[in-house]
Amino acid sequence: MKKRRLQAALLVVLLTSLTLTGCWDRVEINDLAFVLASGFDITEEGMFRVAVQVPLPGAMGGAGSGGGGGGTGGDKSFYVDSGIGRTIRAANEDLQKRMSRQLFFAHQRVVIVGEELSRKGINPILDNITRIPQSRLTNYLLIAKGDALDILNADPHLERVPAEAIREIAKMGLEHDLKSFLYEYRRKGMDPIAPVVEVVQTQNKAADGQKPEVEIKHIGIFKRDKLQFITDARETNGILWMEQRMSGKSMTFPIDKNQDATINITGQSFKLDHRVHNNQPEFLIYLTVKGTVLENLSHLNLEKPQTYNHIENVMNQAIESQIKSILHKTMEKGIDTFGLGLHLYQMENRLWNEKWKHRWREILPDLRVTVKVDSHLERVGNVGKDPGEEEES
Amino acid sequence: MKTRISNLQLTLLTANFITASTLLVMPQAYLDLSLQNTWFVPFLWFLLTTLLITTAFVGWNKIETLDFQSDETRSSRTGQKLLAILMILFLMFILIRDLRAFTDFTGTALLELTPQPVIIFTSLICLLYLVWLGFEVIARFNDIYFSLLFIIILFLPLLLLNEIDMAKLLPPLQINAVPSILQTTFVGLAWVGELVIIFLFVGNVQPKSDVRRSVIWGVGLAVIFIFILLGSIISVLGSTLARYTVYPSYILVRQINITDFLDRLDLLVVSFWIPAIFSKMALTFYGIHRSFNMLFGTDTKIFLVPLALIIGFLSMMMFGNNISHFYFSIYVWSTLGLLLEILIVAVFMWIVRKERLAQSRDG
Amino acid sequence: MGLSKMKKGTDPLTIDQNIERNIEKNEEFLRALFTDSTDLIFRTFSIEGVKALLVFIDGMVDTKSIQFHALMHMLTRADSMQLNLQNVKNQMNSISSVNETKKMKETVSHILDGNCILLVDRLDHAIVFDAKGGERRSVSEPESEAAIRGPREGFTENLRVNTSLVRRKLKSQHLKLKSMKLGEHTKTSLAIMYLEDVASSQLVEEVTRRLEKVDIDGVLESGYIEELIEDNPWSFFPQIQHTERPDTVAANLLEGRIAILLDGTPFALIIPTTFWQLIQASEDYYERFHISIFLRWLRLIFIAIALFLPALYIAVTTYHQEMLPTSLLLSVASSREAIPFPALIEALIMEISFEALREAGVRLPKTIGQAVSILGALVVGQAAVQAGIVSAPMVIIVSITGIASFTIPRFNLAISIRLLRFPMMILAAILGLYGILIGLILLTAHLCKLRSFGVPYLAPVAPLTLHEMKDIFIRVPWWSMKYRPKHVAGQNLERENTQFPSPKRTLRSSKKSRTKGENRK
Repeated sequence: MKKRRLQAALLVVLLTSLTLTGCWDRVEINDLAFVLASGFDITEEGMFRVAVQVPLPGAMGGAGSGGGGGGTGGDKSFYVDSGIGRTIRAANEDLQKRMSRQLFFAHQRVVIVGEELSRKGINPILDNITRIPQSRLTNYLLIAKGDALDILNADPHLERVPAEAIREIAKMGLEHDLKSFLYEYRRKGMDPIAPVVEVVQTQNKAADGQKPEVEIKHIGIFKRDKLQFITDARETNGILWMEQRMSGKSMTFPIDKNQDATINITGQSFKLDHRVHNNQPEFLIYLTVKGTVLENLSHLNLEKPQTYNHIENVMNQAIESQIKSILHKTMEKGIDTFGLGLHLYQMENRLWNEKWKHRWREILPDLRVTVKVDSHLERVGNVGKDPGEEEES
Repeated sequence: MKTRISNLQLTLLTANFITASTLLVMPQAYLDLSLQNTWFVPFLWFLLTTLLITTAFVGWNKIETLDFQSDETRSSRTGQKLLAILMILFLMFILIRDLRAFTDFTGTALLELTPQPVIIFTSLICLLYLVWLGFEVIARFNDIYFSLLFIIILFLPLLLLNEIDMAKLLPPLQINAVPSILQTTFVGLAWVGELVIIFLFVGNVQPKSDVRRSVIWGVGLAVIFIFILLGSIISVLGSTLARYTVYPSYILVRQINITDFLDRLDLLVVSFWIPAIFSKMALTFYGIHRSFNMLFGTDTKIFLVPLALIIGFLSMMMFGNNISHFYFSIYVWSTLGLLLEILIVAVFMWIVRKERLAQSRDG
Repeated sequence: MGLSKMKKGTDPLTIDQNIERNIEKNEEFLRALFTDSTDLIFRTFSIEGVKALLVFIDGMVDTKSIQFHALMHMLTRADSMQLNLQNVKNQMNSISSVNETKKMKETVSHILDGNCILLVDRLDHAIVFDAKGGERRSVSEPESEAAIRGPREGFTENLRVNTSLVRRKLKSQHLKLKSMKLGEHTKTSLAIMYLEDVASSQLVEEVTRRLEKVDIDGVLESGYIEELIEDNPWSFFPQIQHTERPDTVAANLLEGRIAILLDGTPFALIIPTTFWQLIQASEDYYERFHISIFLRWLRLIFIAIALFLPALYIAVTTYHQEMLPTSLLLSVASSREAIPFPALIEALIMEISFEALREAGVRLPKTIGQAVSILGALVVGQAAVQAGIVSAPMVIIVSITGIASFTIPRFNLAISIRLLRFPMMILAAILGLYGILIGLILLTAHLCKLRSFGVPYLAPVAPLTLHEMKDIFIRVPWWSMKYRPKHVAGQNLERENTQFPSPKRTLRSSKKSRTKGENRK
């Protein structure tokens, strides 16, 4: 009995001592500035300029905030500020000095790197992002055309915070997150890619309709951690084909005397195969594509089987040329965007280690890659014929 | 009343003892060595451990009882005392190391600014309470949390389905990877071999004849557990990325992403993992406590509080930073631990043999 | 006055003495003993000139049956018979249960029990007519354990009625009933009921032994006994289940448990009790098993919510903001923008006022109770949110927690959970999620430690017994419930031998089972 009382007393003392001391990590939700997106640039002196985009909870219009609203009102629902430092963290600290709330990175979903910094190498950013426990590998890593800071200042209409808009657009496109980037970067025999985000004006003739919007249209090609070039529309499509991200998107190409048709891609499969010939690898890229007709500006009658075959053939060529354009361009520069080397590592491990690993970038431009596309049109939509076709009675 | 657990409980205790700390430090070291082939290593451990257990239990069924707690055991006191000393040394290392690994993890994932002594202190309160309540309670506690954790691990590949990329497992088991696989097997053997702690408790298991099978089942469960975990880590993160991180298991559960809305389940999964870790630490602590009683032939809880304090201090002092801790856990422990484990098995076999001789002389 | 007379008397009776042959002395003694007890009736009359006396307490005895079955017989039929004990007892009345006693002490206790005593001059025995009666509440629907499907009868305050309710459900000679009286002043009758061929005899012995050790002045409710005989008196958790439903008692007896029924309360105790029993309702076994499984999971989830949700809210908003999805976090942050209190204080304010509301509602008459809940929940809650004193998410959290604690079928478990919520909240405020985990670990360790009459409280989950899981997280259909729970029932584990109810199977297997049955004979 006595022992038990002693036990209880001890426990009480311990617990109370805890309550007296506790709460080192406690931060109320309203003392935090949730960084939703960061932008990294490099200044002329070679310092990092790190910009953050922070939503203003008071302006987010939560149900219960009708009465108060705090001191954080304003017309915009977010604000952007940046700091400068020798490291990224130092830049953050610089910024923190004029923020009343603590920067909190766990909700960061988008990381944007300015073009200039990307060309110099983004290794320092990768180190910072992966080292702190707050940030996640599910972030989207994007390259800005121009300065990252400008992207953060864009004000898309459909979402309250630009970061959310950028994330949604990035997800629809390449869906290439930090994890994929890191994997490609760290793997020997593969070079990473990242989507390019840019600011465009709303295409609206009304005077007050001009607002900066964000757009993701191109893809940046890296060699190790350095941005090499930004793709054009054709090359972008080529990458999307190779990354199997074309389903649900559409492609437009002339099917008859410069008269175009738009095909909606409903499904695709992709296979990378290789052969070793004279100790030299050869690759075969095999693609099957399924699609339906969305729009037909030619006067071809889609009810005829020959037309089907014709469209499929044209489509095959179009896709092949898209893929080849980016494939050759990267390979010529010694960039292995599509992981051909990784494929050899996985499939021909011994030869890779012995023969190719060490001079892979030199071999790369001379490799033979065959692209074979096999498309199938599955449906033509609700109408078969050209609407302007004259009725034969 | 005599402490008693069932064979199923023994199985779960064994499995938990091997697997609980996978959150903290284990997989990274192995991934570092044998990359995408690491998933194969658990099966080698299973073979070796089964061999070890089968050897250890030679002659086990010929003796009637072996209870280190009571005086019924007639074998020499020396054997028991030797076993106790070895166990104390062995379990102290394990507990100090695990406690430190746990505090480091908590400091990284849960409470960044909270001073380490506070976390160690609170953990020790929990451990003290569990140990105070005794072996049966620890076994029951373990039943609940290991089962929960195991179910979650079984569902882990399902939760990560859209992240899994089987190509990351390639190339599988190429010839030139054999040395690295064997190396990993050796480095990890001391970890899996930690199950020798159950030799302290085999006397409490009813019915006694199934003990060997239960332990092997336990190792089997643990192997399935580690296999699924390693398989998911490699196929989701890829071995290159996994070895780059300090806590691959934690990074793995961070990838769970069911919809855009439910992509932050990591701490929830961790909340099921931490009680399992506590269950392991409590069993270790209880083992130390019982070994002390075996050594002095007493039955008292007077050692507990001073022991807890010593362990707390040592886990703070022994490792200057988490790199030295990491170094100890992987490289020092793989030889030191294995050595101690082999000694413990040897002493145990010796006790069983003496006991058998004594009992057959009487019978 | 009577007492002083007795003290002065030359041969005063003491209560330990036997009944005197002289009726005057007996009467004098009784009158002295029960002085100032106006509800005691002394009815003197004479049988063939011999003085006789009926003593009983008004209101506890069925006066009509005394009138017609005792008084009338004795006054009219006495002439033909010799006036001795046997005749008075066996022939001169038509009461169904008649006893005699020689001891004064027993006589007194019979009177207090509500029996009627007949004293006849020259007989040194008191004759006891069991004609208990008087106004009692009749059997009605159990209010604390309402069910949509299932018997509508509940226990009353009368022990005999209660035992008969159980007996009517279990018509078995194996149903045993041990009686006992507890309480120096209340002398409360108590019955230990069990099925002899199922319950373990050690358990019965243990229960009897613990009850015998009870030494208290009064027992007014089974809650007294519960606290006096449980294994871990300090624990937050109820280790003995109580129920108002005879069918619940019968079902538990069939599983090998023991029931203690107490006079004066409609709540019977069931021993031993496990944690899982407390989250199961009787209807789980009456409705189709699919819904039972669903409901059991629902309850488990809501127990977790009732225990952890406020704590989790505190931990998430003050420590682990990364756990919330971004959009949700931003809306929480925006509604908390104007709130002056830290999350813990906010949560405590709301939780405590919710508990107060509930307490106020329980004790008040139904009509006023409604007004209280409207005032409290709607008016005050709404105003507090609008005035920026508490945030809307907090109100939602507290309401869900409140609802969650109502989903627990047993009120006594719900109380424990309600109380434990507060330490969890404080731990969460000190150490965040880690604090909650500390709380969880200590709590589980405690639950693992608990035993109810030797049965581990969390059995069969901890210690894990796989084949006993049929009635914990799921409820298997009745045709599959082949065995009694092994951790409770001591013997006779087989419960049924029903085939899977399907016409095809029945045809095929009827032959087999018949031959099997013959073999067994």
